[in-house]
Amino acid sequence: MGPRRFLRWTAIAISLLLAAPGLPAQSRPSVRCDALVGFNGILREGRFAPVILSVENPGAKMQAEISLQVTWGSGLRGAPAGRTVVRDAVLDAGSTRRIPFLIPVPRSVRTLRATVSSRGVPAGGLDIELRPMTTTSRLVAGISSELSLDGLSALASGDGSLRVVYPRVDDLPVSWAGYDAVDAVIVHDTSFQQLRSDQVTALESWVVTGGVLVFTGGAAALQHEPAGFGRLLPVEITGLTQRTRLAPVSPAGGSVHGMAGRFEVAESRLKQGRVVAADGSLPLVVARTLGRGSIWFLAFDPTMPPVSSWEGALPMWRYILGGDRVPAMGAAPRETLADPWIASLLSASSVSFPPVPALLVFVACYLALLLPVVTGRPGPGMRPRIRLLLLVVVSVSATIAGWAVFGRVLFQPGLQVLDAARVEARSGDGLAAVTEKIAVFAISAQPVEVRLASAGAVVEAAGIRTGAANFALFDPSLLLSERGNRTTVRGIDVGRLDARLLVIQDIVPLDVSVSAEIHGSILAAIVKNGDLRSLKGCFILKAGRAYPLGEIDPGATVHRTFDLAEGFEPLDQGTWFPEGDSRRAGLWKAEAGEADQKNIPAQLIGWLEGPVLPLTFPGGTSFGGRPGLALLRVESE
Amino acid sequence: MREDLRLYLSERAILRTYLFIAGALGLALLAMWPRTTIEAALRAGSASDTFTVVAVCFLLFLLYLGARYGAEDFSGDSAGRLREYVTLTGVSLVSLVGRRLIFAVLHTFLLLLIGAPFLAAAMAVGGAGFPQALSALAVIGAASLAARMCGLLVLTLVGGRRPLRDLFLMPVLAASLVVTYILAPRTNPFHAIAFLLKDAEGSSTPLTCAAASLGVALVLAGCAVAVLSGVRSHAKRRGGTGA
Repeated sequence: MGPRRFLRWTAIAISLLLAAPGLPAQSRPSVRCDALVGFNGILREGRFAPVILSVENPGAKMQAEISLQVTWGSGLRGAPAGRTVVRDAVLDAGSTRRIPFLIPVPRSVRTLRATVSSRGVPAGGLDIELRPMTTTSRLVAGISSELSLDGLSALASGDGSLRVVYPRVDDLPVSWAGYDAVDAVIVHDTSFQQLRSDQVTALESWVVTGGVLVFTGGAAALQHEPAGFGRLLPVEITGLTQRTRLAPVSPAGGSVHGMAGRFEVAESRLKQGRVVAADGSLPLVVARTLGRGSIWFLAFDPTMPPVSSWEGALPMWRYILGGDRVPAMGAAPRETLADPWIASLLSASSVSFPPVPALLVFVACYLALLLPVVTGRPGPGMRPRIRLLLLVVVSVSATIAGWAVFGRVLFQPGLQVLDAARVEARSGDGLAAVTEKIAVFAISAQPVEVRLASAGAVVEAAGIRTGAANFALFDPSLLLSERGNRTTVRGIDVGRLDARLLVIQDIVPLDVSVSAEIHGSILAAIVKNGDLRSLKGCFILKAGRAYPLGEIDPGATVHRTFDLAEGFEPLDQGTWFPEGDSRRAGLWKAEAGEADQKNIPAQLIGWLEGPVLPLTFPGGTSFGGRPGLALLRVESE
Repeated sequence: MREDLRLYLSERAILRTYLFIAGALGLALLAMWPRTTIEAALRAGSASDTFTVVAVCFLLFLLYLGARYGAEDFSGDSAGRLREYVTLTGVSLVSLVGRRLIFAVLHTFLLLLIGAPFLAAAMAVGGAGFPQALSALAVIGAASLAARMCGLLVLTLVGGRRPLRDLFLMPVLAASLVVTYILAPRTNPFHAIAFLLKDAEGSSTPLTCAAASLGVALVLAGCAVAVLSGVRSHAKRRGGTGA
């Protein structure tokens, strides 16, 4: 190689070296991210919030992994706790894709970081400071083309202010927990836009959990069915009518004057629920219960005069919006074994460490085999090599036996699972709200993975690890990986003889109807089980007394009558639960202790065997060899 | 090597030490076996220390016995035999010490096998997996080997005078363990075993400790070669002067 050629190659090499750092940046596809957080950028503390991440891909089509990380608090040694949600998405060339997420907003929430990567290479990201966006106010969501519901802020009571937010139809959550932040959703008009079916389902499921949904009337009511709300409306809207005077409307009762003026009132026919107020045959206020929540229809437009200035407007709204919905994000961190459900299941279990006599037998057998090998006289019968061989054989065999007997047969140190669920429904709704609590613990330290065949469930890590001084070492954190319709929960590592608690909430289909009526001193009950599983240990709970029904097979309808005087005390476990099943009795007692003391007319109480939510624990075993227990409560018609 | 094999598998005193290991570990296991329910253990928030205690006992026994084996305390004439080998034959000292080191490795392996059933039984209730059990065995074996080489070094230094050996061997061993526990805990076998199950992130510590113990064993073996070399040259000088 001559000097000129050498110089040429050196120049090429240097220019390549100089260009190298820029190569990845040039070849890396870059995307632009934007996020719509909460409702109108408002987050309610202690509730879940919807996030829509818009990802614009100006480059070529790419398979991207999108992760959203929320951090909060300052946990162990200043390391913040948090939640990470990972989702796969295909980003077409030159397109913008909106990807919905659900994030928790604890009181000490700090930041939201969105990261888009392709094949492990970061392609874009976004950081948002969440703290300035949070509020402690109650929120009401108004689906309206105008800011016409602001007057509802006057409903603010002593326990905090109330704000009305106006999400766009496109931005409405696709998961029921996306509405966790709002106390009510008021549908005024959708600007002739149609909701997607997943948005309607999310709204319906949210109502089942205790939400309040209000459809207002007037001319805009004609948009409700075309917008996709048909199956939620308690009425069928047939047209519009003009009125100059309306009868008094007072859902809460009391004396309220009628309204005078020019009204546009939606004409309707009742489909489900009850007419609360009517003007002759024209329903003015209709209410329908769905699960724990309610759906209201107001035939008039409350945002227009003269209703907006009517004296009874605020009391009416106060009554309608006075639900008692329990927030989805209600699983406050606590010690796992302090949870009443888990404590009752664990204390009813007899599983223990392998007994000492078993160990004594093992040690005695080993020593009995070792003794003749060691004490045998040396000589032709026990040459050193034979002794060595026997020593090796005996000790290796004993090692394998010790591991197999104590580590596999008598005791399994792997991940153990205790799970209990509450399934709540109203008769005939076809939907039930499920709260499943899962305690995982292990004798040896290991990571926990839960696979959930659902994309809409709310997962909370509620079981905290506590130190000797009984203080929390760190907040629970989770990694949720959502692929298609499956969610994988990771991020919870169980320590040695440590227990953690997961709380999962979801809405599942459940076709059970119950009717319980009292005629004199007789209680007549009709229960129809349209579910594929049998209902076990059923009884009717009425006025604090229980009336047994036994097992109800799938598809069966049971008619029973009881003398009211024959009702038993439901906490008397011997009466209702199969003999020896102390786990059910313990769970029922814990549940009865936790239950709301509401004046519920009548309930069907029963048991669904097995976990209700479709979830699996790779490597996990059900503690004590028993399936999870699910307590069913169906409120009668 | 064959002589060593015959000695360690036929000498009654040595064979009794095998029974001692098994019996003492069995007692330790029985004493530390958890007698509570899982619920009580979970509520107490304290995991069973069965595995750790059994492993520490095993380490203690093998350290003591390793030092004794190394110093040839269980065979009365072997100290004299070693000196004869060195002074009367021209056998390579590296080869001589190397053979003892290799036999020590094999013998330690046998001793580990004798105690392994108790560790296996303790694994389940103590919350240890295979990696932890193998790590514990590695730490115990390597530490025992180092103690054995320490015994050999003392044997080469002091010779057949048993009281003098006892005066040196155990205090030196104990002092080195105390000093390393304070100054370099990552290299101390007791520290490694005690924190084997507690320190989830320090999974490399037991292997570091085992490697350190092996290094110490090799250094001590080298020292023994040096001392024996000195003994041989001294004997040669005395033999030359005598002639």
